[in-house]
Amino acid sequence: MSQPNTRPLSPHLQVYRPQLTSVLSISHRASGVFLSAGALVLSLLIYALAFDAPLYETVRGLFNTTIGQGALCLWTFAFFYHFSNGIRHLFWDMGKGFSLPNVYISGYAVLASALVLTTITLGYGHYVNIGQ
Amino acid sequence: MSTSANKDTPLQTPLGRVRGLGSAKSGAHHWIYQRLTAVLLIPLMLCLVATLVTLPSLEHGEAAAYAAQPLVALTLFFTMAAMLYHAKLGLTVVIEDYVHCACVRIGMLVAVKILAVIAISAVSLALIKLVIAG
Ligand code: HEM
Repeated sequence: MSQPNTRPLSPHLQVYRPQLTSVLSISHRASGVFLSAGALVLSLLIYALAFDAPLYETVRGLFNTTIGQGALCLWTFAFFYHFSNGIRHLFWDMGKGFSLPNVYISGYAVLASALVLTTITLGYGHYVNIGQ
Repeated sequence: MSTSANKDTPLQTPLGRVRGLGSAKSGAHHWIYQRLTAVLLIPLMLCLVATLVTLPSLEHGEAAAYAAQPLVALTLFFTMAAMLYHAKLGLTVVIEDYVHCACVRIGMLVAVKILAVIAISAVSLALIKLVIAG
């Protein structure tokens, strides 16, 4: 049990300057966790749609407040970021796009794609129109 | 469970080697389902977002009538199932990575699993009710 552990250790994160690669990587995780909270809210809304109309309208009312609209905007961006970067992950899983230049190209492409898709979505419905 | 096939693997701990612990035979399962649900979610989520932004009203009556259409309900069911399973698999990895105290970790892993099961059960019941009773 008390054998010294000679396996490699992760270095301390603080010694690194943040870079596009590392920031996009941790953002995939952060957006995934944030979206998971959204999945629960969505489940609650569907439940309330069938079994509790007043609750459904209450939640919808919350989305109509400034904070609610802000949350919807954030969720929209988090989704399109996770979506675009998730597709980038799937290409990596097929072994494609690993060279350093390509990692940077796809990284900027993910940012551009997330921004464009978010703008289109928010512009289309004047905010996701769940509160309307 | 235990095999001696790869006892020379350099990354194996001495304890693991003594116990004869090798591959658990099901390690790829989690990885594969995270990817499978990710691929399914690409069209399903685009469809969900497009529907939410283009429906003229999400007021209770209209939203319920819309979701009560069998094909809509079925699509919504698959979307929520893939989403909740993908989220459950993803959160599991995040918890395993960051929560080092075993009792807290196990509690959180169980909580995530239970929450996902409760959520998909509630969604299923709700959609069945909407389709049958309108
Ligand atoms: C619509 C398309 C989506 C795609 C293509 C996608 C893709 C992926 C991929 C490939 C991974 C694995 C990343 C890795 O190995 O580090 C992942 C992780 C994850 N996803 Fe998604 N995802 C999507 C939607 C969602 C949604 C809707 C949620 C939440 C409800 C979500 C939550 C998560 C979480 C929590 C993780 C774990 C993050 C981590 O381990 O760092 N994803 N996603």
